Amino acid sequence: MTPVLELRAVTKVYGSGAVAVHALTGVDLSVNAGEMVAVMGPSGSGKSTLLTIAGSLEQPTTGDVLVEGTPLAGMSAADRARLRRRHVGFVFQDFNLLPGLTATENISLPLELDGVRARAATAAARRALDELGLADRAGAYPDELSGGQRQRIAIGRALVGERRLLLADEPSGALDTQAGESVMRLLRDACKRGAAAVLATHDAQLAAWADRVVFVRDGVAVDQSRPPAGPESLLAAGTEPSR
Amino acid sequence: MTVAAPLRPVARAEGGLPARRAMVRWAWRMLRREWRSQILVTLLLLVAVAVAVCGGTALYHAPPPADPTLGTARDVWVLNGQDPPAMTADITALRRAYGTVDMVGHTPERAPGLARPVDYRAQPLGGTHTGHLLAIHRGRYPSGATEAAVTTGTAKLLGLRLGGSIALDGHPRTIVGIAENPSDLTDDFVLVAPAGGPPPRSVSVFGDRHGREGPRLTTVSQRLGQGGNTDQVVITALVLAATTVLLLLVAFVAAAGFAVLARRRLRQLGMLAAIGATARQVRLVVTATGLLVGTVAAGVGATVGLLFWPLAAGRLEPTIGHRIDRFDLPWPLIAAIVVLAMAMSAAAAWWPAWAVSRLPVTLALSGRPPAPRSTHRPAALAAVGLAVGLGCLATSDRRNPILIVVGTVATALAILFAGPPAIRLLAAAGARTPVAARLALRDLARHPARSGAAVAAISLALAIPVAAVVVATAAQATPATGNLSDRQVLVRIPQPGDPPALVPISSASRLRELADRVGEMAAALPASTVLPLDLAYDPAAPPELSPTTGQPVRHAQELGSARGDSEFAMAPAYVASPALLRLAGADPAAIPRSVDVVTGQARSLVMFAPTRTRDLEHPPTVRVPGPRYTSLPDTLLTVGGLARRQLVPVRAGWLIESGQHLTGPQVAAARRIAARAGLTIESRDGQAAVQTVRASATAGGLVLALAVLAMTVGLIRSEGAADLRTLTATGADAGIRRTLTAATAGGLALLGVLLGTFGAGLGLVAVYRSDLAAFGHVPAIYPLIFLVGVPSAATAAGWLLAGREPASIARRMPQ
Repeated sequence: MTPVLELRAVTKVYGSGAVAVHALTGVDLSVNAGEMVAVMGPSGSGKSTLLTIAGSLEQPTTGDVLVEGTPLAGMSAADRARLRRRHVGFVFQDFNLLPGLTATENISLPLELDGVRARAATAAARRALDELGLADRAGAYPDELSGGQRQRIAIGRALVGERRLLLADEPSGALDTQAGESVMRLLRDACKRGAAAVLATHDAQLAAWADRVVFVRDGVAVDQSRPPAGPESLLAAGTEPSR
Repeated sequence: MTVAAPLRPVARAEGGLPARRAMVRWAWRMLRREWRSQILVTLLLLVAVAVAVCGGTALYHAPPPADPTLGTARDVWVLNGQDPPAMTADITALRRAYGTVDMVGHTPERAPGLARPVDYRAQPLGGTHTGHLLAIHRGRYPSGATEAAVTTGTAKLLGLRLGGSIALDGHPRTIVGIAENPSDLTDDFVLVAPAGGPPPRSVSVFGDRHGREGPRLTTVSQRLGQGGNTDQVVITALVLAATTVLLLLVAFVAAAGFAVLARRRLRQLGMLAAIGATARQVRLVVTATGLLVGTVAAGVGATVGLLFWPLAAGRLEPTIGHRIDRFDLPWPLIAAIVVLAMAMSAAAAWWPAWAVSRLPVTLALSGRPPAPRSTHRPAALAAVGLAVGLGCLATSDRRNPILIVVGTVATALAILFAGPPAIRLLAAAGARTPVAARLALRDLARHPARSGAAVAAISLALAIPVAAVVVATAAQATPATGNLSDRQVLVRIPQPGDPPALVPISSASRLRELADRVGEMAAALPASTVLPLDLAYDPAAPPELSPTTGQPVRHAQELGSARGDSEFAMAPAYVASPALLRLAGADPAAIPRSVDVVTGQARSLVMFAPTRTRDLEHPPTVRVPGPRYTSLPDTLLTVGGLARRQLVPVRAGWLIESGQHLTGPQVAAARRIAARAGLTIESRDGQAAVQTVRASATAGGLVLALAVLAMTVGLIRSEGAADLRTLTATGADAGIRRTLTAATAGGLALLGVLLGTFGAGLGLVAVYRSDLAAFGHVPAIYPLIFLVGVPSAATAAGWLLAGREPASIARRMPQ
């Protein structure tokens, strides 16, 4: 089975000479469909850089990145943008939604950018909102939504269409515990439906939702393991920790 | 939760129409939500469009709707009324030949206390060709032999009013109306009914020959004709050129505004790119914002301009001297201005859009401004633009309009591109200044998109008045062109308003008296010489009546140059004296005896007999460079030609040439002597206006530059709120805040002044390279005002006004 995301000996260096910063050094990572991988490490360890390279926002200095078997090297900027629209969804800690667009329009935006007609894109966004349990907030603007609702809509936007790679950078960092858990459950559900997710976090409790944890320190992936069953799984009202 | 609906995106990477629609929709929503952030740019564009629409419409109406003399007719025959049966026969012949003709009778009548006679005019209302030449302003059209209408000017001159009476021709008439010539509000006359007026001394017959040859007429004293009217085309081109310059200036300010907007939306635009928007789609968001701002401003501005137009038209009519139809609007011109404003606004947004779209997505997502990029490319572009601009201006030789336009645009672009490197140099130079000034200058260098646009706007705002001051001074200092040199006075015997070929019949004693007065004028001028000017005259031709004064005149020989289908531009033939030949650039000894005509005109000349009864002749002609000044005689009949045609000289005037530049009081004294003697004089035009032009250009340029500066500094400092917050947190006081704003304003002003003056100066040196002495005549106060005054005023104003910033400036700007 072709991994949804594959990083082969990826290195990223910012600057050059004496001021060169090695953000990533020889990182290998493979994420299959239905799998959620948590990337853990202290601040400045290279977690966010790994996500941005995986999502084609940045290009590695050396190494290869493949999304659904397609190498990103040599792609033009327009092709990379198309890849993001069709295959990759991003969820950030904050500032996820575009002000001035309603919840429905925010979710349908990647589809419209890809040339889907507005009516079809809106219908797809409405279905996504139904599944997110936010159908009644379809016409609300971001500043009329709570933090948890905004992040759920961001996840809806990251997954709308046929995208199978979800990259989340501290997705619940700005949320309270309950809203954060709700967001993690949505990500877990997406993986159950066949998406692959990479979650950057420094929170062990969030990492416990993942199938696998990659530890990054000073740009080097030092260990990969299954996370221990965390207490949050026991607190999850009789539900198993979403694996 | 993957939604796997059967969605069918377009094959192209750009997403096609749905993607563009989504981007424009978001831009529109953001504009509606954050309209306050764009209010400055919108207002600026709005005012520019309103001024352009109102001013353009005013200029469009500057020429009268119909020729004040010809109306809508293409041909007018002025028939002499001395022989009424012959005149009636001529009118019948004209009507038979050309169908519909309009007739206006003229009878000059002397009025006590007035130098010029009053024209009793017998003219019907609503003529086919003369409809635009008569309107009843108040009251009604006169009927019968006992009623008349007068113009406002005539009523004022003679102390008349509605219901009063006038009897200049010996027949009392009740004034029943106030009349006017809508195409010439200075045209004063007494209107009488055609059947009820005095016998006309002359009749103007208005018609259209449609290019056909006419019947032989025996009483025609003058024939007028008009070619195609190119005024509107020229005015439209001028308005569009001026609007382009105005909007270019506004566009630079708008570019700074859009750069600030793009900076504020940096993270949102980064998010857009992260979810798959291409660079072109990111650019579209910002450019669409510019287009939407331009559309709103252009629409509202055009409406405001049109609303103000009726008010402006009312004030304009007395100045331009004709009535204006308020509802006759130049829609194509207005549409062009609106489209131009929208395009300029979109173009102004394109630069920041381009800068944002080139940012790495991760940098945009972080909201951090990019590190300053290399300035080699803008510097190289500035050098290329300057080389092209100066090359074009130098080779234009002040004559080729295309090279002048290309050179000016290239030089302006060079100034634009020189902005970012100059800002970096300034920031480097200010590395050792106190922290507030250093921070302000470094901030300018870190955001070249907005500060570069600001410098370009200020440079352009100052380059225009600098160029105006130098050109005005050069025009004064190098009097090589114009109507006359600043040492010459032209004295004329023909009455003002009469064609120059109509010379009043004067006795020998009267001529001696006039010559004495001219001698008196010359004696009052230093080292002056007097050159008599004679016209060639056929002694066998009968005398005519002056259409202006009704007095007998001699119609001198004329030469015509063809300017279309059977149309001729007429010029009186002066008798070629050696001095006149030299003035025309000819060597008297080199003119062959067989030559009849010496002329500076390039076109082929034909000779008419005054009565127009002979066939046209093509006299032997020699072409010479012609006189340097436009009012000097340029068509001369040689003594041989005079003798061969049995013509005689008749005195028409004198040319007085002084050894020194004439002062205003000297010209005024000569004018007084001429007025007493019944002569008219002409001196060099525009000398008094030069100082006014210089002062107006300087004042206007300063106001414009400081206004542009205030706007751009306001925009830039509003983005510096985060810096202020940090500075305040570290203990900075109000003095630091003032210094920040003052250094920003002073830095931008200094760069704007240097680049604007330098660019304009180099361009002018290229234009005047053969006459650089003109620059030495520019009074020192003007460069001082520009180079020292503007940066000082900007710094002081920045310091003073920064203290008024509200406390909320220290809050983080909303994202």
